[in-house]
Amino acid sequence: MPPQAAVIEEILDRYPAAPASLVMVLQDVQASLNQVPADAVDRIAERLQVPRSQVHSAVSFYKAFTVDPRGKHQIDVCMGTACHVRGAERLVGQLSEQLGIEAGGTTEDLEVSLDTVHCVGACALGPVVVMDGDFHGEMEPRKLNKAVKKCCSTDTTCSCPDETATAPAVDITHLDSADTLAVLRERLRRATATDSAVISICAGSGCRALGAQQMVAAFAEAIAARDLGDRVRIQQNGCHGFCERGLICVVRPRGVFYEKVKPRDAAEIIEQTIEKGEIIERLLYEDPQTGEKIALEKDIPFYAHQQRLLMSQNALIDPLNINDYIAAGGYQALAEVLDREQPEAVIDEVQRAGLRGRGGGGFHAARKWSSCRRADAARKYILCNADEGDPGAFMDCSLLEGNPHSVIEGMIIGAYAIAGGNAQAEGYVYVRAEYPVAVEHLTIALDQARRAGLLGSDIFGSGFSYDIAISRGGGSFVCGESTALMKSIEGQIGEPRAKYIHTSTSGLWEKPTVLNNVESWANVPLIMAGGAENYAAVGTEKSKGTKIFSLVGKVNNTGLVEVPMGMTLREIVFDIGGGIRDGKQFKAVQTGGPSGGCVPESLLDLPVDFDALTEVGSMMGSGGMIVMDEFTCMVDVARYFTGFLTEESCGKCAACRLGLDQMQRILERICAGEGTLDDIPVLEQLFQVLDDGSLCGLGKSAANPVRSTLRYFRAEYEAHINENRCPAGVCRALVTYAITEDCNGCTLCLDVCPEQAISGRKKELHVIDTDRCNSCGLCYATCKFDSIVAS
Amino acid sequence: MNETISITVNDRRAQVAAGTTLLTALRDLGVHVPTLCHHESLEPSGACRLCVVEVTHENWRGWSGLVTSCLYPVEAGLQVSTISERVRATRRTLLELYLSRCPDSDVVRAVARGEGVDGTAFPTRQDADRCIQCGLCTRVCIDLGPAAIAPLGRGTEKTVGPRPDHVGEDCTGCLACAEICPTGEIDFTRRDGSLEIWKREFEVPVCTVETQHCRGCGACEQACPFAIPRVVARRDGELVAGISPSTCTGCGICAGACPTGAITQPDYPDTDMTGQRLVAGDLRGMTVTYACSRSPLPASVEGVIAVPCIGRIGVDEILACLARGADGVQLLCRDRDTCPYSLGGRLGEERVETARELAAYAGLGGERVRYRQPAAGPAGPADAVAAFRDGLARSPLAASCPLSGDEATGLDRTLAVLRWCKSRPELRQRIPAPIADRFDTNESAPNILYLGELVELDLLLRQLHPEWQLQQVLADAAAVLRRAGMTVRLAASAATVSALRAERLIVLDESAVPDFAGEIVTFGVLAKGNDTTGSDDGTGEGILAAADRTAFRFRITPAERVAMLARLAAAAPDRPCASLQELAQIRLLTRPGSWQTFARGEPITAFAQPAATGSRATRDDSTTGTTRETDT
Repeated sequence: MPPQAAVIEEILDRYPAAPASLVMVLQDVQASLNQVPADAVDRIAERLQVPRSQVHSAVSFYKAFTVDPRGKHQIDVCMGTACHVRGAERLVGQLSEQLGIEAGGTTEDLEVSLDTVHCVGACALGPVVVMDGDFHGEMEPRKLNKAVKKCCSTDTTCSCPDETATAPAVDITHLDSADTLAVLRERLRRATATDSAVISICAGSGCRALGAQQMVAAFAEAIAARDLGDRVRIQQNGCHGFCERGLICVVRPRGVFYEKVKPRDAAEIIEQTIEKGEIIERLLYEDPQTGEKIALEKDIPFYAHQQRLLMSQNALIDPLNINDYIAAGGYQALAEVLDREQPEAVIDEVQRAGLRGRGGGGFHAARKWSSCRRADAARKYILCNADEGDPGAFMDCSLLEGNPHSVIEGMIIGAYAIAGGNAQAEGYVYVRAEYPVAVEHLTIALDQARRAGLLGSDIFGSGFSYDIAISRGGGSFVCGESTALMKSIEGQIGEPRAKYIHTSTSGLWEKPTVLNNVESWANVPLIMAGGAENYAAVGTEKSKGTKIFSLVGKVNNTGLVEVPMGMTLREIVFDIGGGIRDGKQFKAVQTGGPSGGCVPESLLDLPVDFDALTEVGSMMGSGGMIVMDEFTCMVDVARYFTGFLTEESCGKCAACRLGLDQMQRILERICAGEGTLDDIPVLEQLFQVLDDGSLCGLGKSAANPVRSTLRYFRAEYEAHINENRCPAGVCRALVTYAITEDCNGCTLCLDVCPEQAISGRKKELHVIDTDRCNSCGLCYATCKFDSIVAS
Repeated sequence: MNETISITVNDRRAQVAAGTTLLTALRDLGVHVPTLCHHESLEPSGACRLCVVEVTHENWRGWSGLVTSCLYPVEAGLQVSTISERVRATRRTLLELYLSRCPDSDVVRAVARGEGVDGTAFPTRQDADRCIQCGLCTRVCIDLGPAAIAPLGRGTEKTVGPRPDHVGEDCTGCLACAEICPTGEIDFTRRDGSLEIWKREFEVPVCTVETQHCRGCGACEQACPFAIPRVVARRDGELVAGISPSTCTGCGICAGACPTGAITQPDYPDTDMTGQRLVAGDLRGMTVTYACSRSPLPASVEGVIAVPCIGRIGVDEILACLARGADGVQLLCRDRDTCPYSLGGRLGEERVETARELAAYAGLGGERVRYRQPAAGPAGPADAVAAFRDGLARSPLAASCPLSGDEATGLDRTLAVLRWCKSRPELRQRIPAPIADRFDTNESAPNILYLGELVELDLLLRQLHPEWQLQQVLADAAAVLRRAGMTVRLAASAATVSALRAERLIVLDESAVPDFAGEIVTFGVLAKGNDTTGSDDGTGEGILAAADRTAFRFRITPAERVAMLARLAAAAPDRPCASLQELAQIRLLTRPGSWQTFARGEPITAFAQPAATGSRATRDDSTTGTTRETDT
C-alpha cells in the first residue's frame, strides 16, 4: 500500500480543488485509510482552500468520518425503525458483549469496529447486520456469533464497498434529436423481441443481501452449460418490491414468478421453465388465504392491489444499461418537451398534474419551479435529494438503484422548465453514503446519459444545456433538510438556516435553486408522457398520483408498495401487506419517520394522503410505513425516535439541542420504570418549545413521535409510570422472562444467554435463574416455540 | 431618506426602516427582545431562539406563527407580538433549558430573571459548563479572518474549538472570541510576555518605554485599548510612562501613538521594520502594505508587513515610505466592530487621513495612501493587496528621501520628511493648487514648516508679529496632525515635548487668566533657542538643537499642574466652565483621570487637591517595573 500522503494526494486529484469537494474527499480518505488522520486534514485544508477548523468541523459533524483508525473488519448494525422493532438493539448488545467494545468502538488489535447505522435501506430484511459490506438480513441472536467469526476470519483489507465495479460494456448511441431517439428505440425493441426469454432477477438491496449476485452467476453458468446464450438473457434489475419473498426471479415474457429462489435452483429453472416450458410448482407463491399456488407475477395479490406506475419499470430494465430504459420508452418525454414545449408550458403541465413533493412536506412542485423560474440569475441549480434519511424507508434507494434514468430524465425536464432560455442550469444529486450501490448505479447512468448526449450541452439539439454531478453525504439525517443539504454540497457542515428567503430565490451558493426528491423527479417523465389529466386522475382531491411506501416491520409482506394516494391504511397493511406476522395483533403503523407519528388501529380506515396524515398528528414523510404489533412498546418507539433525533440534531439551535436532550432523558426514565406522572406535563411543555422554538423542520416536527404515541397510547405511558410495567414486554428494566411448560428443551436459549442464566438438559424443561438474568431478551427473541414469556 | 414601512407591534402602529430584520426594527423602536447570540456586526444565525416573536398579517388568512426576529425581514403590514403567551412560553422554556445546561452562567441567569424565570424544571447536566452554543465566537473568528475555531460534533455533544484536541493551530491570539463570548466560557491566561488560549502559547511582544525619550505626555495612556500604560512621576519629579509587561497585550498601539518613538517592542520579530528595514531602503516601485497579523496574510506577496495592529503605524512611518519612493502605502485593518483592538484600527484610519493630507501638502501625493478593511474570509487581505496595486496611479518619485535608518521616529521624522520635501522643487510642483497657494504665498514665514512647533510658533508669532497671516495655515496643519492621533504640543519640538498637549489650537485669553500668561512666558523661554544657541537658519535645525538642550526645563510636574489649575480656578471663580471647559478641551490636563472627572462637568475646585493627585502618582509607581531607567 502506498504511503498515506500519496493516497491523499491521489484522492485530492480526483476532485476540483474547491471547498465543495470537502465531504467527498473526506469520504474517499476514510474509505482508503479507515480514518481521517490529522495530517490529512492539513493537506486537505490547504488544497481545497478551506480553513483547517472547518475540515475538523466536518470530520466531527458527519458520522462517516473518524479521527481514530477503524478496524480491519467493519460490522454495522442497522438501527432503522424496521430493524429496531425487530430487535436490533439486542443484536448490538450481543455484539458488544462478544467483541468487548461498545458501538462506535474498535477492538484494541484494530481487527473489528462495531457501529450502529441509521438504516441501510434493506428494511424488509430487518434486523440487518452489515459485515464488511455484506448484508446479513433477518439476523437472529443465535446466528450472530457464527457470522461474526466468519467475517473476521476472511481476509479483507478494506471494508469499503466495491467501487471498482466497472460499468458493463453498453453500446451507446449518440442522440442528437428526437428522431434519432425514435430510431434507436425501434431498433432496440426489435432486437429485444428476438430474445426468446429473459430471466429477470431482482438485485435490490434486500435480494442482494440474500445472494442475488451468486444467483446471477449460477444462471450464467447454467446457461453457458446448456449453450443457450443466444436464446436467454439474464437481466439484473433493481428492487421488484416484494422483498419478503426474495430471492425473486421472473421468467419473461410469460411472467412466471419464482420466490425464495436459491442459486442452486438456477439450473432447474433453465431446464424446466426455459427449455421445457414447465412451471416449477415448489418455487411458486402460495396465497396464505387460499393456499392456492400462483404462477404469474400479475396475479399475486401483493402486486394486484398496487398501482405501480414507477415501480413496475424496475422489474423490466437493467439499471446499468441505458438502452433498456430507452427501449421501455425512456427519454421520449424529454425529447418531446425539448422539441415542442415552452418551459412555462412544462411548469403549467406539472401544475395541472398537481404534483406534490414526495420528500415529506408535500409542497407543490410547480409553485417552487415557477418561483425559481421567475428569479433573476445567470445560473440556477436543479437538485435531487437522495438523502433518504428516514430510518425504515428505502424507496428512493430502490428507485435510484433500479431506475436511475427516470430520475435523471425528470431532472432534465425540470431544469428545462426552470432555467430553459433564461439561465445556465446545473444539477447535483445528493446521495447518502449509506447507499453505495445507488451511488454506483447513478454514476454509471449519468455517464451513459452524458455519452448519449442527454446531459451536457445542446441536449437533443435544442440548445438547452444541463449536467448533473453527484454529491455524497457523510452520514447526517439533518442533511435531508433542504438548506442543510445545500450547505453540505457546498462542503460545509449541515446546519440548516431559516427559510424566510426561499431557496428558490437564494439556495445553493446563493443562487436560485430547486430541490425535489428522487421519487418526485421520477414522477415528472410520467406526467409529461401521459399528460397532466391522466396523472391527476389518480389520487385524491389534493394529493395526486401514486406514492411508494416501504411497508416494513411486523407485517407479513414486507417490501415496497406503490399505491394511489387515498388508499386506506387498512388496505395497505392488510390487503397488500397480508396482515400482521405470526398472527399477532395490529397495534399501530408509524409513518413519516422521525418527523411523523404513530397511527392507531382506530384510524386504519384513514385514506392516506398528505393532508389526512398531518391531521392525525403524523405525516407522509418520504414514505416509511412501519407496522407495529402488540409486542411493540409505544413508549420505547417514542424513545427510539427521540434518541435518533437527539443524535442527528445538528445542535445549532437551542430548542432542538436542549429540548430533545431533556425529552430523551424523560423517556429513558419512563422506560426504566423511573418516570412520574409529573413527567407528562413537562413533555408537553417540551412539545411546545420544539414546535414553536426550533429553527428548522427537524426540530419543529421532532415532538411528533412522542406526541402521537402519548395521544393514542397514553395507557402505555401510564402503565410504565404507575405500574412499573411494559405491556409489550420490551423495556428491559420492566420485564422479567420465564420459560413455560411448552419448552421442548431445544437448548437454543441456553446457548444464546450471555449471563448463563438458563439451565436445563436437552429435551427437558429449561429454567431461567432470575437472579442472573439481566433481561436482555435474547432468549425470548431466539425461542422458536414461544415458550418464553415476558411479564 | 431611507424608506419606511408600517407595521404593528404589540397592537400599536409603528414606522420602521424597510430592508432591515425584525429584530433591528424592534430594537430601533425600543421594544425589548432578549437575545444571546446576536451581535450587530456579525451575520445573524438564529441559534439562541430567544428572539422569537409571533407574527401574522391580514393577508395570511388568520395564520400566525413564531419567527426568528433576528433573521426575519420586515415587511409592510406585519403584525408583531413580542409578548404573546406563545412567545413567552417559548422564551421561558428555552431559558429553563439554558439554566439546566449552564446553571453557573451569570449572564444566562440574568436574562432568565429578566423574563421572570428563576429556576428550571429540568435536571442539570453533569458536564454543565457555560457554553450556550451561541456561535458568536466561531462567527467572529471567521469574520476577522483566521477561522481558527469552528463548531465540533453535533447535537447535544456539540462543542467549539479549533480541532478535537483544542489546539489552536490557526489562532492568532487576538482574543476576539474570548471578548465576544457572552458567558465568559472561553478561557485564556496571560503571563509576562506570553498569552495562552486554545492550548496555544503566544509570545507577546511587550511594549517597553525608553525613558530617555519619554516626555510623559500621556499619548500612550490615551491610545491603549486596555488602559495599561500609566504616566507617573518619578522621584525626581519627571513624568514618565510605564507599561506593565504582565498585562501588556503587545498590540503596539501605544508605540504608534508615541510622538517621540520612546515606546518599542524589543521582542517583536519585525521590530526593525519601523526604523530600518523599509525606511532605510529604497522603496521605489514597491507598494507597502501594513496588515494586521491577526488576520490571515498573503505571505508570499512582496511588501506586506505584518504588524500586531495597524495602530502600531504612525504618520511618520507612512510619510517616510512615500518619501523613500514607495508607490503607495496601505493599512489593512480587520473588522473593527468585533476586533478587541478596534481602537488601533480607528487610530490607523485617522492617521491615514492625516498622512494623506500631509503627503498632499508636501507634494508626495495623498492619493497614494489608503486605509482598507478587507472583505471577510481568508482571501480578503490578499485581494485588497492586489486591488491596491492594480488601482494605484503610479507616480515614481525622482529621488528618495535621505533618511537614515536610526533617525528619530515620531514627530521628528515627520518634520524631517516635510523639510526635505520643501527643499525639492519637483515635489513642490506636485502640490495641489489650493494647498500650494497657502504654502507658497507666505514666503515671509519660513517657519511654517516647523509643524512640531506649531503652537509655540503660533503664540510667538502672534505676540511678536501680529500682522502675519499664519493663523489659518497653522490651524489647518494642526488639524491634520491631530487626526493622526499626534498630539499638537505646547512645546518647541518633538524632543521637547511638554506634559501639556493641546487638542485644539486655542489661544487662551491671557488677560482673563493673568497667571496663565506666566505659563506662556515660560514657554516663551523656548524662543531663546532662536536667538541664542540655535539661531533660526531657515531650516529649523537651530530651534531643534536648542530645544534639545533645554528640554527638561519645560516639564510640569503633577504638583505644578494642580497648582496651575488652582490658579486658574481662582482666576475665574464666577465662570467655572467657559474658559475652563476650553482648557479641558485642549487637554491641558493630560492625565486621563483628571480629564474624565472634568468632562463630567464637576467644578474645577475638585482639582485643587494636591494631595489626591500626588498620592495617585506615587501609587502608580508599581506599574513602571520594566521602564528602562536610562536617564537617572
